[in-house]
Order: sequence, then structure tokens, then C-alpha cells
Amino acid sequence: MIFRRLILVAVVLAGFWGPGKSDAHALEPGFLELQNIAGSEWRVTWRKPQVSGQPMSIDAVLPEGCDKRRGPSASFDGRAFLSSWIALCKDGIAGGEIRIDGLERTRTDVLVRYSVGEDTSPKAVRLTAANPAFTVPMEQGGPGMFGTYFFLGVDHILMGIDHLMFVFLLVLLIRNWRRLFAAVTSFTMAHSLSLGAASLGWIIVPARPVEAIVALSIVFLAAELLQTQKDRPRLTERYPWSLGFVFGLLHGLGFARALLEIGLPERDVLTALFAFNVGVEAGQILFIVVVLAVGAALRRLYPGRAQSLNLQGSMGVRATAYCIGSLAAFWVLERIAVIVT
Amino acid sequence: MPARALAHDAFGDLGPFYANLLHPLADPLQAVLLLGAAALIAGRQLDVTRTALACFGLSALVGYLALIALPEVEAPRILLPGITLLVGLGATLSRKHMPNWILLPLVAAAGGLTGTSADFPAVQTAYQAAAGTILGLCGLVILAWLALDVACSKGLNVVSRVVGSWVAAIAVLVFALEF
Repeated sequence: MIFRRLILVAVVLAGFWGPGKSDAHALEPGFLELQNIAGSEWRVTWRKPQVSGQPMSIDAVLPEGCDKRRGPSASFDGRAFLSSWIALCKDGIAGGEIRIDGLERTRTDVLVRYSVGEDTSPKAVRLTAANPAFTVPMEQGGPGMFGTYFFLGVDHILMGIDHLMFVFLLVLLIRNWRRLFAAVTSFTMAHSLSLGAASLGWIIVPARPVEAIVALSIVFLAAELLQTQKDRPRLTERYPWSLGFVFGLLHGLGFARALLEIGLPERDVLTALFAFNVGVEAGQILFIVVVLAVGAALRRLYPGRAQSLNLQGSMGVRATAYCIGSLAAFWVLERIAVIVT
Repeated sequence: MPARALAHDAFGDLGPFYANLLHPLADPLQAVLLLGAAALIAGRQLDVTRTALACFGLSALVGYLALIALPEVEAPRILLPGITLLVGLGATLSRKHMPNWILLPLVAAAGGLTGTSADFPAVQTAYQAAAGTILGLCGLVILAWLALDVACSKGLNVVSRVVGSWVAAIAVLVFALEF
């Protein structure tokens, strides 16, 4: 018994040792927009991330045919350094290279949104340290915007450890396939609703408290996992649909914050929103499939041990609950501290 | 107390982890070798399977550590397709003709080579890269083994042999194109 408790304590301590700062899936890329306003004039908006209060040492380089003049010095908007100017590109930007100098030395991404003409819908491209430049295609295809926001959605869910932990706990908590399906479906529906409403500006909720509550929802599920009274079913088992829906609304607000920071194209708001949401769903389903497959593999490899570890109230389930719960509790405190300070 | 979040790592927060986790899917020969190892292990007794999978994981870890510790040492180019060919051929053989004393070294060689075929990690993200690499290799080999083992348990032993023959054929193609 003492040995088991020692292991539990060690697991909890490991939970505190492991996490670094988790700013609710820290999704704050740089952002460069080239919006064609007339003929050969583009309004350039350059949002440069900050590092320790200073602008990150990266710079946007426009296609060769564009003039070199820049706007006034960047102003800090509380999260990033923002500058805006009008660029004159006599030959247009199609076929030209847009590059982010210095991006290869960072781990940041920059989302570039551009339109080649007044009547063409904007396209988006994500530049990374591995691919800090791209050539604006001569012909603008349709699926570019959808694909970009779809992969942003997939990225966002897979990089969002807190969301993944929430989904992981749901999978552990709800063993009945139908109830799990109900919970995940309602979670999806709800976060689609709140994501849409928040992204379109219908509801405005401060981001920091939402992030704290998202972490709190993980603590709640971890506590649910620890409940062992068989005569008193867990809330998640009794009301999978309702709980999934309520938590989905909260998590959707978190997704919306991310999407708003990336920005939505003015003319393709609904497409981008839909693509982002589909991407989030695809990432979520991918994660659930992998978790179930790994679980099946472990059950096949260690049938007896896997079953005993998986039982309600067993050592394995308690260790998982304590580890994830401790980590989530740490996030709650961290995020509340950010609000307070 | 935590300071204001300044990360701005955007998608890069766990980027190196995921990139290394999914590396086998972007490196065809590493993926083929991994699949061959899974086909070699599938359909065997549980205790042998456990030992073989542990052997694969450990040797992948050793291979990866060797990659980091000895970056200047280059393995002979023939080694990767050569071992892939042997692993593929091994998987086509009947389980009776592949005793454990041949199986385990082959699996270990496959694991070690998949470890050395990973990307060399950047200093800042070395821990993420290492975790992603080892988890990716072990996770993918286990998932591939699961799929093949389920097929074997349903009487479709031929599936792992077909996979093995494809692995061997791809290794022969690599030989033909590269040497």
C-alpha cells in the first residue's frame, strides 16, 4: 500500500516537473497581409511577434518588384508589434517571392494572407522555419484557403495538449461506445457553435478566464476518473451528452481565440471557419483513433495486466488521473496568476 | 509565479516532437524497414512478441543515441537496404524457419537502423526530438504489428508474408537504383 502511494506521489511530482509554460496551446504566429487596394497598390499589415517585450528579429521581404519603403515604426498592441503601409508593386505580386528573413532561426510560424488583385479572393500560406519563403502562384486555385485553414485546425488540436488531455480523459471515462460517441458528438457540436459565434464577433469573452476554465474542465474530468463508488455513476456516464456540450462550448471559445489571432479572410469568413472546424475535428478523430489503437495493442500484448490497470479505481487509472489532474491544476493556477498579474 | 506568456512559438510549441514522431511516414525506407520488422514479429507467441518489440525499442533508442553521439560516423550506404532485404525475406519465411536466435538480432538491427535514420536534432529542441523519434518508432511498429497480428490471428498468416515480400522487393529496387 505504502509502495503504491509512493508511486502515486512520484507520478504527481512528475506531472509538475514535466510541464513547461502552457499558454493554452500558445498559438501566436506572426502575420503578414498583402491586400490589393487598387491596381499596383497593396496595403501591407505586418504583425511581428514579441520576445521578452521586444519585436522578434524577423522581417517581411516582399516580391522584388515592390518598392522598399516601409511604414512608420511598429506599435505594440499588447501582444505583438504591428505596422502597416502601402506598397507599390508595379508588376503585381503573382510570381514573386515573399520571404520572412530570420524565420529559419526561430520556432515561430508566420501566416501570410494575400490577394493578387482587387477581385481575387485572398489566399493564405503558412511559413515556417523550414520553409521561410514561398512564390506567389501565377494562377490562383480555389482550395488553397480551405486547405490552409483545415491544416491550421489540425495543427491547433494536435498542438493543444490541454484539448488532447480532455479528449483522452473522455475516452478513459466513457467505456460505452454509444455514450462516448454521444459525448464526442455533442462536444463537437458545441465547440463548433461557440467557435463560430466568437469568431464572427457575436459573443465576446475574455480569453484568459476561458483558458483557465478549459484547464479546470480537465481537472474535473480527472476527478471524475478517480471516483470509484460503483453505486453512484459518474456525471460523465450519467450525462455524457450534456457534459460534452457544456465543455465543448468552453473549448470552442479557446479555439476561437486562436483563430482570431490568426485572422479570418474578410471575403471567405465562412469557408475559413468551416475549414478550421473540420481540421479541428479531423485532428480530434485522429487522436481518438490512435489512443484506441494503442490501447488495443497494449491489451493484446499484456492482456491480464492491461485489464487490471484499466479497471475503475485501479492503480493505472488513478495514476493517470493524478498525473493529468495535477498538470491541469497547475495550468489553472498558472492561468489565473496571469489574469491576476 | 509565472510571468506573462511570451512564448509565440505558435505551431512550433510541439513542432519538433510531431515532426520526429511522424518522420517514418516521410522517409520511405525507414517506414519500409519498420513495416518489415512488424511483419517479422507478427503472428508469433506472445512472450516472443514482447521480447522482440522491447528489443526493437531498445535498439532504436541505442541507434538514435549513437546518431547524436557520433554525428561524424556514417554507416555504410548498403547497410539500410541490406538489413531491409533480410528483414523482408525473414518475414516471408514460415515462423518455424525463423528461430528466435535469428529473429531477435534481425529485429534489433532493424530497430537500430531506424534509430540512426532519424533526423539529427537541433540543440534547442533535442528533448522533444528524442521523445518524438522514440515514441514515433515504437508507436508505429506497435500499430503495424497490431494490424498484422490481428490478420494472422484470423488465419490470414499470408498477410505478413505478403508484406515481407513487398519489403524485400522494395529493398531490391533500392539496390538496383542506388548501386
